[in-house]
Order: sequence, then structure tokens, then C-alpha cells
Amino acid sequence: MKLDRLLRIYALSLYLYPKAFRERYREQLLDAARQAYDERQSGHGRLLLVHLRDSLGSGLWERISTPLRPLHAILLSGAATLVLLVMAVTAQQIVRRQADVRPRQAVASIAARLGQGADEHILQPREEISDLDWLHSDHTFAGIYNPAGEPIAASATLHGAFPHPPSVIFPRIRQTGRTVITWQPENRVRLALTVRPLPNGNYVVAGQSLLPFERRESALRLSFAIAWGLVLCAAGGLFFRRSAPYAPLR
Amino acid sequence: MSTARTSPEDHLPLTPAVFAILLALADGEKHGYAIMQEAREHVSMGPGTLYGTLDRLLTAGLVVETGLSEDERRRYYRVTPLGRRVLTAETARLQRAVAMAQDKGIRPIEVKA
Repeated sequence: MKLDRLLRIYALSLYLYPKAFRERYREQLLDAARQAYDERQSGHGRLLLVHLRDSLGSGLWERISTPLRPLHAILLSGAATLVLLVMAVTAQQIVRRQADVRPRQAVASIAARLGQGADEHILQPREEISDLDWLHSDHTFAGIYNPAGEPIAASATLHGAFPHPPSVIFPRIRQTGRTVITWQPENRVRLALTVRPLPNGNYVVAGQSLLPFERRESALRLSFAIAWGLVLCAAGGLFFRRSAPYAPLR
Repeated sequence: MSTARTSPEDHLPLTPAVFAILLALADGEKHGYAIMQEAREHVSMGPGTLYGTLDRLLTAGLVVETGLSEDERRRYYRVTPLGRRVLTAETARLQRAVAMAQDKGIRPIEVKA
């Protein structure tokens, strides 16, 4: 590669430095790089990489050492907020989807057993959903519902009766194919439900309490809020820091 | 570094880059590339690191610019009396550290920056 092209690439890397630094030292930086290339017979490409790495490291250091301009402080805060927001929403979605794993497995298992000829008596109510212990556990309940959405059998009760999600959800699930829903039968009882339509018109439903997952989501939200606060403090610190002007030209 | 620091000890310990630059200027004024060439004997240094460090040394009053080359592309730098005292103090500090290491049986090996 020709030397002037190498120098042009190096000159571009000088934009990594703050404007004031660049204006103060640009000619000297280019002169030092030019002499370094002139001195060598070969290995110019490798020297360019060394210079670019130097620009990246020292350029970022000079930027950190220089107070941010208001627009840059706003842009930095906005970009960091956006990134953290996307990360928080993604993490929240991942945690929420974890709540569907066990119900999905339970539904598949029960549907398979029913398909092999078992009847609804495979489900006997043994647990109470409204118990705090159950709500804080990772237990699942399962139920079989007729085409009208009325419960036929279930492995748990809600205040002594079979859990009874709104009947309107069942035909909608058959129409939309969306098999995962959140059901809140009462305050503090929130369940992640998975529904599978059966060939005979019935439905198999399995659910798990969302309480343990909502706790994890709360912890995540707190972590991201703290991270966001730290980012804003860092941007504010860079903005309000005392200016250290570059040494004046003589 | 701040211009308010006037005692050489206030500037210690020096970073390897600062020490290498002051040492390069100890025997007379030099321009940036000459400093970088000599400093590379001790520490890996690119142009950006050199001028960033030089700027802090100028601000701290350890180095001054002495003028321009004939083609006005190169600026020359000289160490100030304060800069020389800082270099002397750092050298003494390093000598004490080396002596302590040798007392503990540590022997130098050939090291290339």
C-alpha cells in the first residue's frame, strides 16, 4: 500500500480524538507517523495497525478526559438508555417465557397419554392453587376442558373448585393458534397457561404460578434501573467535569 | 497532573510513558518523533500516546515547547528544571525499588519493550 494512503487512513483515525486535541496536535501526529513509515523498508501495514490501535486507545482516553458537549451528553445518555431498555425488555421476555416451559411439557405429556387411550381420571385434584406455598413453588397444575370450556378434570383446585379460565379463550385459541396466555383469576394469583386443543374438541390446559418469575423480573428491573442511574451519573460526570484545556500553542 | 504541584514528589510515581519521555529529553531538546524513537527503547508508544502524554507534561510544567523546525512541521520540546527534578526523584525511587528487589534475590533478565 502506498504511504500516502496509509497516512490518509491514519489521518481518518484522528477523528477518534476530541476536536480540540486534533486541532492542536494533528500535524505533529501525522508527521510522527510519516517519519515512522519513512524509516521502515517493510511492515508498513503492521505499523498502520499499531497506529490505529494507538489512536483508538489514546483517542478514547482523551475523549474521557475531555468534558462532553451538551449534545453529546444527551446522545450518549439516550443511546445508553435505549440499549438498557432493549436489554431489560429482552431479559423480561426471556424470564416470562421460562414460565411456559413446564406447562408446555405437562400439556404434551397429558395429551400423549389421552391419545394412548387414558381418560380424564389421570388428573386428580391434589393441590390448592391459592395456597401461598403453591404460588411460590414451581409446581404445575393441569386440567381437561370440554369444547365449551367447562372443566372436566384437574390436578388442582382453586378455592375448592376446578380452575375455570374464561370460556371465551378456548375458541380463540383454536382460531389464532396462540396457545400461551396469562390468566389472573384474582388479585395476587397470576398463572402462565399453556392450552392444547385435542382432536375430540376438548382442551388440555396446564399452568404455573408467575410469582417466582415476577420476583426475578423485579430483581432484573432493579438491576437495570441501577445500571441506568450509573450511566446517567457517568454521562453527567463527563459533562460537568472541569475543563482541562490543551496546552496552548506557542 | 496540575500546575499547582511544585514538589517533584507530588508527581510520583511516573507512568512508564512519562518516565520514558522525560528520559528521552534529559540530554537535550527533541521533536516528537525523536522522543518516540528513544522512548520505544523502554515502552511501546504510538504518536497519540506520545502527544497526549506530552500535553499533560506541558500543562504540568515538566516540559516546554522550544520552537518549530524550519519547515514548521515539527515542534521541539525541552524538559524544565522541575521536570528534571521529577525525573531525578523517579530515578531514585526506581533505584530503591531495584535495590530492594536485588536484596530479595531478584536478578535482572534481558527485557525488550
